[in-house]
Amino acid sequence: MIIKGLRRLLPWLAPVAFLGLFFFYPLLRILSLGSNFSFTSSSPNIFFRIINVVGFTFYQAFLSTGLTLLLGLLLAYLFSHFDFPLKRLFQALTAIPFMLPTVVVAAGFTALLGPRGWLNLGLMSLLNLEQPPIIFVGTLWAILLAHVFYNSTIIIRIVGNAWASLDTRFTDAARSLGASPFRTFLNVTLPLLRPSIFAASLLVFLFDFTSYGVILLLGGSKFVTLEVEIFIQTMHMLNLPVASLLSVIQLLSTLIFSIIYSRYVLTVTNIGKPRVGWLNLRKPGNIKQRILVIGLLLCLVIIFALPILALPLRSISRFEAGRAEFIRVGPALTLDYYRELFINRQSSLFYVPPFLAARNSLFYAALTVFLSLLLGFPAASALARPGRLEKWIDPLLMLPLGASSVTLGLGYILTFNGFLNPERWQFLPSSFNLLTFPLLLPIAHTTIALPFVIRSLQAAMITIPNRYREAAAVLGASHWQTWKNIDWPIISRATISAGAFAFTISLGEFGAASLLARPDYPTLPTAIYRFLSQPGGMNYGQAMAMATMLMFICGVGILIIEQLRLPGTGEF
Amino acid sequence: MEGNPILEVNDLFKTYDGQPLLKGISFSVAAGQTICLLGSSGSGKSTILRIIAGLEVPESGDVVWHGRSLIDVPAHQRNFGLMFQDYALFPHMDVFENIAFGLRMQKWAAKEIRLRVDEVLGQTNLTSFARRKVTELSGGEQQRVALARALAPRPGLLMLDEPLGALDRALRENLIEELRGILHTSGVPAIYVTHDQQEAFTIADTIILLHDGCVIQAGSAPDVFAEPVDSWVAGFLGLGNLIEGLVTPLGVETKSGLIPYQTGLPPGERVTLLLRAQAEVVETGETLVGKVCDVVFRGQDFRIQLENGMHYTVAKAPEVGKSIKLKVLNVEIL
Repeated sequence: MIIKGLRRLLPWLAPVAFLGLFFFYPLLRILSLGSNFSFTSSSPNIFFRIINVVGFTFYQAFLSTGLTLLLGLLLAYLFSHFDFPLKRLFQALTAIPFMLPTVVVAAGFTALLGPRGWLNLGLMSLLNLEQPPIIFVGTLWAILLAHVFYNSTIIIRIVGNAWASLDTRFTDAARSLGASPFRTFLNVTLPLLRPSIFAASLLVFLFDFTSYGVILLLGGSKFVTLEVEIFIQTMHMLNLPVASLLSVIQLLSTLIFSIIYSRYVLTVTNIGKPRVGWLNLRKPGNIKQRILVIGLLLCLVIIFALPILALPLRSISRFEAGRAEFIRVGPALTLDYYRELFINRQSSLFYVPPFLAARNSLFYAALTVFLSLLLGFPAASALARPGRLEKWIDPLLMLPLGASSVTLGLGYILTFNGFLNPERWQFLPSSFNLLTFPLLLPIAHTTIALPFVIRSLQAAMITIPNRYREAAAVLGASHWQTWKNIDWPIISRATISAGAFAFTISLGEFGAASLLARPDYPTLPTAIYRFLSQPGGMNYGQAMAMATMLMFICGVGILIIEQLRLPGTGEF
Repeated sequence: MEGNPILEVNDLFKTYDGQPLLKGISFSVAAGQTICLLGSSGSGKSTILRIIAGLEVPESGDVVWHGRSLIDVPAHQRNFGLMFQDYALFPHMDVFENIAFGLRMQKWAAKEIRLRVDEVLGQTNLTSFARRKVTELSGGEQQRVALARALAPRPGLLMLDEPLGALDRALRENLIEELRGILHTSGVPAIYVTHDQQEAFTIADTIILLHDGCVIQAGSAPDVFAEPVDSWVAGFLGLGNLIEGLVTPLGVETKSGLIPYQTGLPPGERVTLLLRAQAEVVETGETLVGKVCDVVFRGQDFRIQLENGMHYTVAKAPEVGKSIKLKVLNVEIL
């Protein structure tokens, strides 16, 4: 009995110890520091600053969600009602942004609409202007547009699926009873879609509420959300108690939204099975419908394809001569920005050539893949055959999903700063500090990736019915042969997919990296952030080049994930 | 049972969730024989197969193969074929690879594997399907692939667990004949599990009836059909109408009338009679009476349903709603 119990515990030792030390303990530190915070001990300004920050966080999230809903509903209508050439491609295009790193998205918008972006450069040469005519970066519009770009796919998928499977007899009945198309939409279609619209909007709101990279990179210094304020308080003000308080507010809000969402989704999914989706599909028939379809597709391409295309093109086009400002030499193809990545121009000790950032990022990502698979495999195989212990542990494992990566970074700073100082650990060299330890970031990335990795491995393991193993045994396969021929071929796809997921997450992760990556160990996202915020055409170009590289590597990762994904998994 | 038994199942006991499932099951299989385990769902039929295959261990009892106990032999060393209820075809392998799996486990040479798989594909009419994905096959095609996979390693014994259970009626009737032919030509001894007596009668040399964890009756299909050992067997096989009655000097008095059948038992005895379905409508005489509530034309004859729940086949259709007198042609005492 005891041996059996121990055997059930065994797979949990490593994952639980890991998450305990690198997730729950740092979180507790934040909670205790944040909840002991008192406003009397600090300046009264802090209070109003927090109110302002929370207010703006909600404000921009509401605006973003509204705009996302608007575009998302239009495109959901398009995809759920019309059949047209290259439809799958267009659909995939709307889904790409959701998986791109924030720095890439920010760089893409800068390449299109920034002061050195295509639009401004084009207008300047067309109208012979000295200054860029469009101010985009640093405005609320930049934030909103990026959020729409990011999250429309959620509305398109959730509402689009519901819309496509809506029984057309309801609308037919309404029309035959004398309702105009608009009344039919208002009184029949919309109420039937309301649950999915609400669920999708809530999810979009949650993402907009916790947005970080987009605000920091595109909003400039004027706009501060909770996440950005945690970063500012931690890194610039060095006021860790205030940062912790903000983290607690952030965690509580996320928790409340998540509870509402999961409760709501539970009730929604209980409302009967819809019909097969394609029954509502038709080719655009008359001129009006054609104009509608073409117009919407044009919108789609402008919003989703242009930023993605602008970035790589901008990274190989040069408009300025040398390092001087805005002396136009006309556009020319160049690989200068890429070449420059390998050169230490400033020949300073603290300057790290950007290609080293790529090397660091790849190394961290590889380590994240290794660690998350190492910890994920035993956990997933135990979860695939759940006992009482597993029912308990399962929700705990998913908790890291609820904490933002900025909060995680703050937790690490609180926990590991001086955790290994020489007074406690005599045998370590006195200069050793776990915070400067370059492996802390891949550990943070593993914490973030682990829930996804466990879920996708577990999903694959569950699909193997015991009958397959029995069939193999009866056909003469030993335990090892069964694992090799039955279990592994089925799990291997999920393993590669989970690994690619961990890799992509680590490569593009910006929140924790902005707090934890040391100047001498930059990652691609932190290096892009740094180069984007520095003046000069060469810095800008290098940021473009790095963001392009990051985009392509992540693109390959996304492709692998999508190709190997089990049907039906990975939905919201 | 004729011939020397190659498989003996001795006194199997097994509990499931604290309830006894098998209460001392024994039977044997002779070379080349197809036996059928017939019983309602939950009677433990599949568990018996799983014990023989080595996928489950009985609490007591033994499985003996050519005189040697198999209890300590793991499933993969028994060389028995088992065809699963829903086939358990490996979804990540195509038809050919599924069928070749057992041969690969026995480390056959690639060329030999190809020859054998081609042969089995031919036997099961699947030749053109070799490179198809198993997930794209219809139910009937999957069933044949599962059979081919089980047959390919030339198992000493083939076990089929409700192989037609997942298919619709029309398909089942076609496939059962095909299955019968394949089992016959391959000559492999087989144990066939089903709950459908029609399937059992079609395919089995010997039928073993299971009820409540015990073997109730074993014998050839005609024997079981002609002489069911008790009323449960007669009822389960749908052999006719069961009716209880009291022995009198004139015959057996039942609640539906007097049946002129001489039991040879002393008057006053309570008996159960099996009244086979064939009957004649008569005008007079001491006989069964009933009111017709339904008549179904079946080509050769009519099946009539009486209000008391009994049904008979008659040559001429009576009117629905009319009380009739029936002479039952075949009566047995159980």
